[in-house]
Amino acid sequence: MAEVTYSWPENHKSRLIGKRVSRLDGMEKSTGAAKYTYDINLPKQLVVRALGCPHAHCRVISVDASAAEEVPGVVLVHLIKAPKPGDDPVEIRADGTLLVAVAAETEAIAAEGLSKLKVKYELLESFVADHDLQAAEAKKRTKKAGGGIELDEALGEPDDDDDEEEWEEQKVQELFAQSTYVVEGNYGIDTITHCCLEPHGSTLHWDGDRLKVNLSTQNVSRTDDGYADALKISADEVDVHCEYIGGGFGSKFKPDYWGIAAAEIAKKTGRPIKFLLTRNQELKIGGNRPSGFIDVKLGADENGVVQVWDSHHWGTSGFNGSTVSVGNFPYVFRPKNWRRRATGIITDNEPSVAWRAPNHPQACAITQTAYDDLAAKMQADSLDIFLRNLENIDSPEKSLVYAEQLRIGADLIDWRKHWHLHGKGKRRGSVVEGLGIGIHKWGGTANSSNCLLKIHPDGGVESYCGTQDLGTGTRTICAMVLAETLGLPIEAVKVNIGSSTYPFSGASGGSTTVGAVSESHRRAAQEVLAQLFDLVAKKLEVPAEKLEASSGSISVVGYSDKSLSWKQACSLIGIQPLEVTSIYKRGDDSPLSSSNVAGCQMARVAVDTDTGVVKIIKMVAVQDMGLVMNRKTAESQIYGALIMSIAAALFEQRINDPKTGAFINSELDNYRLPRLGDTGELVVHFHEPESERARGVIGLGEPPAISGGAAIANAVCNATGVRVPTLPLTPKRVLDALRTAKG
Amino acid sequence: MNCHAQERGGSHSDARKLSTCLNLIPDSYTFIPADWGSCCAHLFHRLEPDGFIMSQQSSQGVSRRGFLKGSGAAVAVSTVVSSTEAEAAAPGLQVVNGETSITIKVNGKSLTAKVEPRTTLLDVLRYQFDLTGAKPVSLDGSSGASTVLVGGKAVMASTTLALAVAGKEVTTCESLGGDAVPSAFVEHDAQQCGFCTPGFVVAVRAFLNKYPNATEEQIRAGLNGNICRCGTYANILQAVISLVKGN
Ligand code: FES
Repeated sequence: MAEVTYSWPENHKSRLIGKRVSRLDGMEKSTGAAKYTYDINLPKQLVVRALGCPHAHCRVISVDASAAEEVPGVVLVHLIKAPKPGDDPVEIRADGTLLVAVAAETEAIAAEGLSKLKVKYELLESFVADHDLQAAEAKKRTKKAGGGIELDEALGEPDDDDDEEEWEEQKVQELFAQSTYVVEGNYGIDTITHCCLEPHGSTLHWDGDRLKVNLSTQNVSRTDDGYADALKISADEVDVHCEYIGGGFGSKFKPDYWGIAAAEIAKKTGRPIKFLLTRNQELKIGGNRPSGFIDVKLGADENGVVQVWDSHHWGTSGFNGSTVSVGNFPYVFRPKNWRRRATGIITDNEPSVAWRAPNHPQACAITQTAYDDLAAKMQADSLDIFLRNLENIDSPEKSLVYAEQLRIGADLIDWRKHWHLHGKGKRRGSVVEGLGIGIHKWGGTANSSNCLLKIHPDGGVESYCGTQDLGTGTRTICAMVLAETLGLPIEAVKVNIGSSTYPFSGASGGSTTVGAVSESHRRAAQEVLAQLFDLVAKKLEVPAEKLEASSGSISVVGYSDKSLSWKQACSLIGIQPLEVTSIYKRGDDSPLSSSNVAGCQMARVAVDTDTGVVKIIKMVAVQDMGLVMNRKTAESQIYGALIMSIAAALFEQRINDPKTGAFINSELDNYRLPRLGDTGELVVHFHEPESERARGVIGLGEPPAISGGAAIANAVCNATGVRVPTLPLTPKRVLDALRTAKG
Repeated sequence: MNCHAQERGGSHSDARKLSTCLNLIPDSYTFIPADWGSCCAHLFHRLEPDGFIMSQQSSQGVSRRGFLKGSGAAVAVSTVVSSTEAEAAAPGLQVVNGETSITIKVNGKSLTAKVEPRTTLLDVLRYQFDLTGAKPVSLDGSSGASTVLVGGKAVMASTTLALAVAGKEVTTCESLGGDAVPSAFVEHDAQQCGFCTPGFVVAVRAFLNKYPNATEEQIRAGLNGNICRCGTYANILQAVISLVKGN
């Protein structure tokens, strides 16, 4: 067999790749046939409910479970984060931390059992004011979180006897003194939660010494080691399954401590266990994204090109006290001179976990707002200021791409028609309109992925890959790639994913999955096909290089009469199926995938200055992504990302009670998310010149979820002429900012 | 705050409905902030008696939390004759205590369930009938993920007591395989993770039954009882528009 050269089919030859293909499991999802972890009921299962700590910071002194154990139907009371009798108290640092679990015959009985637990707490002082740097310093709740400085070489170097910091300070001040425009501002974005609609959890059982877990996870292939570590067994004794997952967004990579508790309870009771978080717990402990607040000073030349950036930001990622990573400040833009510093705030909250495009949406929302304020100060067009500052960005090779994307976006939102200077638009009653921009970047390198592909002598095709479908359409993409490569209809291939017993495939995080499975499935299919071509070549007495697979047959290029049907070709395999396992390792140089995308988003909003309500009129997303795999699901990713941006920009925020630290809006009636009527008109544009196609597959999940917040915040500022500093831009915050501006 | 309507077809709050669509708003219109004040007061009446007496008419206005207090709780409903401990609470009502058997007509089939006063319709569907399309996302109903039809009307199975639907006809997403709504959802990719999708499919069915010729503005105003975290609203909107056009 000749060595296989991996490649994608040319555009005009693609039947499926790059086309609009409906997801294969759409009907199952729409009619309830798709079984999620929460939907799996095992015979004789017990349902577990856990008591969440009602205090943000306390010590749990003791638990009296006697009354709970008396409730008919309660089978076991299990301590999670609580002391056994005689043990030292356990310190709790976050509202909602799971203390005690009750396993019972039904959900209702478990809940009744919980209500009978008697727990003694010792309350400790809590701190949750993540926006208040001074208060945090006074309470010794801060932690250095990095920083740095870079000054243009032309400014020279400090002399040996200079104090370096003083010299730098002097240079920074000189740069500001030379600037034509200086903008000082503060901006912020609150903590939000992942709020997966399917809460975290599992339905599991022990089969002898083997743990079989149905887990709502983004990491099918690699949560087994988490269980193994905690339960002192080996990873080969754990099977993890997840056919469908109801949302993850970066929060479902591990078994989590309640998952370990489920396995322990199953062991103790000898019964299958279903243990999923309640809604309240999902919001409190299922995952959150760190907040960010910033003091910025920037200086620009007469053209509005920023020459110096100086910022200090802070925020919280919970009790481990980190904040948004400092490396991306200012976001995308990179003036020649910058100084930046970050401080983590230690609050009594759950530690944050990865959230779709970790750090980027916050960095974008609290730095590109300062660039827009420069436009406001200059009374210039924001679009011009963004375009001019493309001369100083962190990936200079992308500046032309951004420029083109900004022009496309401006056309789509009709920028020239609707633009007015900040605060100078026409007023219709109390309503004013405005436009705003944000730009973003992302890597999106394909993750490692292996695929076992079997071709049966009767023509059947099945694949196995331990990946997962978060809703991005992974399953459909696997099938598209196989069907395209083998020249078969998509229904002819049977794709199997979602089990750790299948070949390894990396976790779905960081926009790595479509690249990963495209790599592994294309490779496996090309290799299988090469083997099949050898057999067919012999039979037809033609060279294998002359063969092609299309329309359900293998034929000689240019001689369609010289062909074998797929079935006839497969009958040449012999009695055993043809099997190939492809292996793709993240970072391997490959013609099939690459990384690094740009993108811009624009928003047009209406603000009611009497009530503070902001409405989205229209949003536009322009996005490059290399080779588009499934146009339909790719478009959905971007629509969804825009809507998530609207959520964080206008609606959602974790609210902690300042006195008790309690997370007070942890239900969906007060943790606000946008509804169907809140999203305005959304326009998605794939930026795909031929050069993009040649780059191969690049992940798409994160990038469009980044710059919408900045775009909306800037549009509100453009509408009102007033900066509402902190996202979400709730009616109260809008009104407060308007009042403050009036003086 | 986000509030929900037991009966879909309207939006989850009037305030929101008014401010939903810019296109409808005349020049001098003032938006009403949707998160000010309570427009759904019944959600905040946390009724917590040990037993409960309920008439058919009031069943939509009470919180289920009151029923979670214990299996001995009692409930009286006009449609159920309890074989165990019935006592007259008021004319036309019976009191049900402890576990009892009821029959519900689900997707055309009469099914029997063992329920306590605190058992919700959602519990019965998911744990006794293995109909897991309706999802337990927010037990207060604010996500709409447990939407089913009872007698043709959209209700949240998570806020509906099983006893209240004894003898009634319940339709779940599982029976909509041949309906145009799921096909339109597939065609317009109105689903990502899909966890909200069954609830949305049923809500759309109920909405279209009531407003078969809905305009885009009506669709935007009328489907606000459900939450999708993945952000499929744009696709759902397209799906519903296509369904109206198909009519
Ligand atoms: S598709 Fe995931 S919540 Fe709607």
